[in-house]
Amino acid sequence: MAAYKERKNVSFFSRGTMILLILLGIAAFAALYRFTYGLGAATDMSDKVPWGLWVAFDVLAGVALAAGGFGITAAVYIFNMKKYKPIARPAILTAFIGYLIVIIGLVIDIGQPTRFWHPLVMWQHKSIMFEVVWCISLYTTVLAIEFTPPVLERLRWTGLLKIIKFFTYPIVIAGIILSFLHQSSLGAFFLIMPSKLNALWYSPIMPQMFYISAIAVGLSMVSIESIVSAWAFKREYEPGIIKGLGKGVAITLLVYLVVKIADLIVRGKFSMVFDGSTASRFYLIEIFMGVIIPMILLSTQKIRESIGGTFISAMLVVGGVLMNRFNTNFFSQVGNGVSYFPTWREFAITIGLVSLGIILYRLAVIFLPVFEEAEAEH
Amino acid sequence: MGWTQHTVGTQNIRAMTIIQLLLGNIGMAGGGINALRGESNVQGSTDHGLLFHILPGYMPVPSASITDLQTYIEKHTPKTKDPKSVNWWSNRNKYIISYLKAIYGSKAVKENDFGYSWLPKLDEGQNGSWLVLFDHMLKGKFEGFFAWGQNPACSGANANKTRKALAKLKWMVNVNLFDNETGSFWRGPGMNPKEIQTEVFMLPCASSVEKEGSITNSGRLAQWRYKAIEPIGESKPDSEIMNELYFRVKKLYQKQGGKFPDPIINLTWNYGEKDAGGKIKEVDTHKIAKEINGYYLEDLVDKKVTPPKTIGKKGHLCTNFVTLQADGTTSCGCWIFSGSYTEKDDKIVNMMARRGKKDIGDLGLYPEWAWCWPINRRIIYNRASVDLNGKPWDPKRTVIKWNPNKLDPKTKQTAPGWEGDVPDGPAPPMADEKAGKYPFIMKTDGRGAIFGPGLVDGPFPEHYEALECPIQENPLSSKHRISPTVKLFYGVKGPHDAPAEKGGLLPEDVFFSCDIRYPYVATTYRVSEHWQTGVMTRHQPWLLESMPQQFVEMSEELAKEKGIKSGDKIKVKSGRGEIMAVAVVTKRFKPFKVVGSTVHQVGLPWCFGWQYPEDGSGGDSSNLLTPTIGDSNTLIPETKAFMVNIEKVKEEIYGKK
Amino acid sequence: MAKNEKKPIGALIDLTKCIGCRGCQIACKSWNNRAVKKTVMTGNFTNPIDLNSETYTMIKYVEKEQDALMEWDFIKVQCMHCKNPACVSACPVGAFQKSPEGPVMYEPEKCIGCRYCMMACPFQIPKYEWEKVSPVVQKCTFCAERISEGLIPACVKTCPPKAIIFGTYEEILAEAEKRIKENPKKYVNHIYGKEEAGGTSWLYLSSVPFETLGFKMNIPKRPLPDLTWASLSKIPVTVGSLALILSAIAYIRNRGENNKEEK
Repeated sequence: MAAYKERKNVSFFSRGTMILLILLGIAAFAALYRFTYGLGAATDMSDKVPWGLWVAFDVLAGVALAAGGFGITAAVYIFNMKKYKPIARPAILTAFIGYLIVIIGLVIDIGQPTRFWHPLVMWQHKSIMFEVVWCISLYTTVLAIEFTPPVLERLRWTGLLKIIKFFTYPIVIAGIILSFLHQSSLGAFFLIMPSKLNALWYSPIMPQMFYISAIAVGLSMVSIESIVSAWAFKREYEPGIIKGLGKGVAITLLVYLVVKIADLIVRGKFSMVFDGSTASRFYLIEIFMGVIIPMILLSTQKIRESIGGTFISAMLVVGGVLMNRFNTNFFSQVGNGVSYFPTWREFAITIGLVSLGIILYRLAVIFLPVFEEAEAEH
Repeated sequence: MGWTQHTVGTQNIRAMTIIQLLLGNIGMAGGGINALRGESNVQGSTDHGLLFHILPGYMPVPSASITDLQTYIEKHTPKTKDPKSVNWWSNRNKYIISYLKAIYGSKAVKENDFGYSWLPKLDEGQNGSWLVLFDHMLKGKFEGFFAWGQNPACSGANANKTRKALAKLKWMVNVNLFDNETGSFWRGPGMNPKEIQTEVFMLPCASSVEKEGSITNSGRLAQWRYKAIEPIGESKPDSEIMNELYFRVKKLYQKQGGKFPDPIINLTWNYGEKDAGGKIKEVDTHKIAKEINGYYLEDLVDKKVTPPKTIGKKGHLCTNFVTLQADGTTSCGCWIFSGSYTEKDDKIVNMMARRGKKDIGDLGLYPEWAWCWPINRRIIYNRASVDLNGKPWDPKRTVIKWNPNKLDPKTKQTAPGWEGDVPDGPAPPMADEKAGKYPFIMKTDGRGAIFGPGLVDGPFPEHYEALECPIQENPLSSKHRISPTVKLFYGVKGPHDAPAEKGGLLPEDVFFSCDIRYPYVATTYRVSEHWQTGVMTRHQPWLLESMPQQFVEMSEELAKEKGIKSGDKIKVKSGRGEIMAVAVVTKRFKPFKVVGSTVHQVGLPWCFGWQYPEDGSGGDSSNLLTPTIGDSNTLIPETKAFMVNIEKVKEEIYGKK
Repeated sequence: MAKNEKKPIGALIDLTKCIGCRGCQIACKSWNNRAVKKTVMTGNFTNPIDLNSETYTMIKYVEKEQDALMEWDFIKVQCMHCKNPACVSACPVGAFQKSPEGPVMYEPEKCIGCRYCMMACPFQIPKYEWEKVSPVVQKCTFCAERISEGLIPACVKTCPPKAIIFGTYEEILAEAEKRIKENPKKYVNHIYGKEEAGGTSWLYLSSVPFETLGFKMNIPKRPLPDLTWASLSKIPVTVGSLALILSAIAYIRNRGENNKEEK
């Protein structure tokens, strides 16, 4: 166990963080507006579009993007793939911050923020929303526990650290199960809307699709974070890890694509893909840009081995899954004369939440031994 | 209203009645003409003499040339020698004298013609109907005006003229639930309050649920209504407002004398307990209803039968109009309502308050529900629904039938008679040579008439165009484009559609026929969400929410021609005014083909006004567009057919600047 | 009819009888004391343009031409009060409940405002108080408080042509079937709500195909909550098996490591 040391080579304040702080300030102003004048005044949501940008991005996409946490912990602890241990802590940190952001996003989005605790007390076990709220709450707790080691190391509370480490496996397993449940449940949200959601996306196996795509995007996010933080904190890249992640993403995408196409064929909706409608165009972009192209790119060894190639591919996967969540949400609401475009306040809060995430990440990495574990073991 | 509000309105109804007569649909269940009234109590108000030319019970207002009662009775009592004709109006003397006894009480005696000279009279040819009144008002012939439960600034045809006329008044009393476009006319669009000297008094009155009384629908069904809540604030029922006014006016007459105090001073007003000053403390609606029903003023005995039979006892309510007398021994405020508030076995019964649900067959007549004039007869001329032997023409829907074996419930003996609805008189069917009677009892000859006298525009309906119309020539009568008998307010010579250019005519009355500036036929109508001009409903947020703004409906064809889409802002313009409206392009309107050319029609509701909603978003009355012209007989304004132009506008049309 | 409180209630709207007077719309506002949202004419008589948090029921006006004949249809919309409602299953806090008598009830005090009910409802009935800082959901209550007092819903009571009838579900379904049977030429052979979304307490009859009146025709015939339950009900098994499998893998994959560390 290496003693931690603060990163002296990086200061918290940089031009980037200043911009992030400004964005956060704008978001705080927008949030103030939302809590003073209500959702109707602050957003473009309406009775026809009750779930807007915040649900689509902050919740549906946010949770998916934070899926790297369970993927890496599974790889490291369950499958004992030691290669990935160096990125376990960053991945858990990302997930933890991601879920905190999701929770803040949810509180801003719900009409009665002061009652956010109701589902924990008033049980309605047939509701997907009930299950998601519980899973997110529990999983965030699990992530918090999973992330205690760096904090405890920093505080030198070795006793407690030992206890936590003793329970590593049950906690990791619990985390993986909880992730599995609510990642898929986000897809299950839409199962009740067969008459509303466009048939290109509506499928009885939406939960499974959401889950598979969450693995792909989670791993891609870990790649991106590794690359970006290596660059930001002037660290060495870890080509082996990135290459491995790329391979994992490519395999997951292949599975995902096969499932998607098979599902369309089984449901007899395959022809809809090429019917030229707005929905079909969005669907094609989602599949080509977000699934097929990155899958092909990552299947090529040369690209997998190049940092730039991996980065671009991972970004495409992130974009693809984002688009999938947006399409699923909005193609169940808009069309037929119903339109929605987020107000600047909705954008500001979403951008602000992302900024907050990056700021928290930067703070953690600077002040806590997030990468140190890895370095120490080298 | 769609049939009546035309220069040929009366003939429209006449034509339909003739068709019903030819089809044998008079007196039948579901037959006749069903007037869809514009107001729930129009029938009641007309029955009780609201119109300028009729006294209660459809008795003519006397003309000034008839100076004594006997002449009046002779002039208005038709005669026939046919013993089979009932000729009901031969009872005129009983009804007018009982009426005079009701309104002048003990002051009405045989010696003074029962107060006949106190009745208001019309000069020969004088017309006191709406259009003429406001025409005179504009010409400065009025000092004051009671706008009682009305909103002429929006409801009157050619509302700009009406609004200008109001400015000529010295004073106006506005009796209404709310202030309205009439009471506030002086601050309305285009008005300069500094130049208007009219003093306006607002008397807030109670709504129908804040007072008790009867309401009579077009089936002549008088239904009693109860007070649900107390009047709000300072508002009072109409009767209380009249009570206040009556005693103040009477006091002034008593003190100052005046030109003609007798009709006021001698008027009976026994509607409740009097205070020290002689004023009725609170008007008892039941006493009014009883006065309308009528009283026996003496013990009445029928001496023609042996033994003599008591008809009624002094001070008791009349049984019905059959017992009314022409010698001043009975009083009755409105003979057709005699029997509506009566006595049965010495118990006073308000027949209008009955709520029995028994029906005759399944005709929906419900004879025990409320009360129907005359004498609870649900279908008039019902003797026309049977053949000469009293057998119903339609046995499936029997209104009445003659039963020769009918048993008298009291004596248990055979007493032939009618069964079903109350028949038009107890006389046996026409096959009875001696006692049989014709069914049309109100007609002098007892017969329904297809061709006959009575209407100024001729004995038989004839087609005429509207005053403003899109075609040059009446295709059915090249001589007369419009009815030659209408009273024209503008233009007096030649073919009636050529406005005279000479002075003395009001520019407000101008009209434009076959003028390219006003190429589209327009009509006005109501919406179910608003009541009349909307004074009561525009203040009701839910109703305003569901029907918020003036609109103009048009066909898809016209909209295409004019480049108009549903929801566009439209300026609708006639020769007399313009309003803003939202376009409603609808399949319910279709272009007409009239003598070979395409004629487009647009439609507008008339329930909006500038005053409320306060932001002006409702728009203004479509009566700003309608012309000053009326039916030849009734002078009901022709608001259902006139010419306009429509134009799409860009600027925000609603809202006060 | 209403006295029989044990049996589930229902209402039947015979669209052929509706005269479009909006009496139901106003009576509902009156009884439920709903406020007004400022409207304008949009070129159609439908106003407000859709249900909202202050409008539980309303008439929609549909104009069309069929065989050169103008048709003007009036469609009353309100909560369908599904037998197995999507909103009840969607709500994470149980703010929506299906009462045994039939009305789908809502407790605003529980609501967290996630609006999943609005997403879940196939008829797009729950509406939100968007203009309020502390909004809740609003929808037709089936006048449950009137019914519990033996009265009939305000909209039913006010309907002049008796286009809406109210009774036990059995009664009104039988009446709907009777009307179609007695007048097969007048009505289309479809009782809307009998099967839609697994059946609803409100039923519709029409003389023209329902799709021409804007009714949603793609709503599954099975109760929508079944669709999510199919996924949710697997959770215990999933959790159990995942826990087992993951533990097993972890044990097998880490066996050597542990031994090493222990040594």
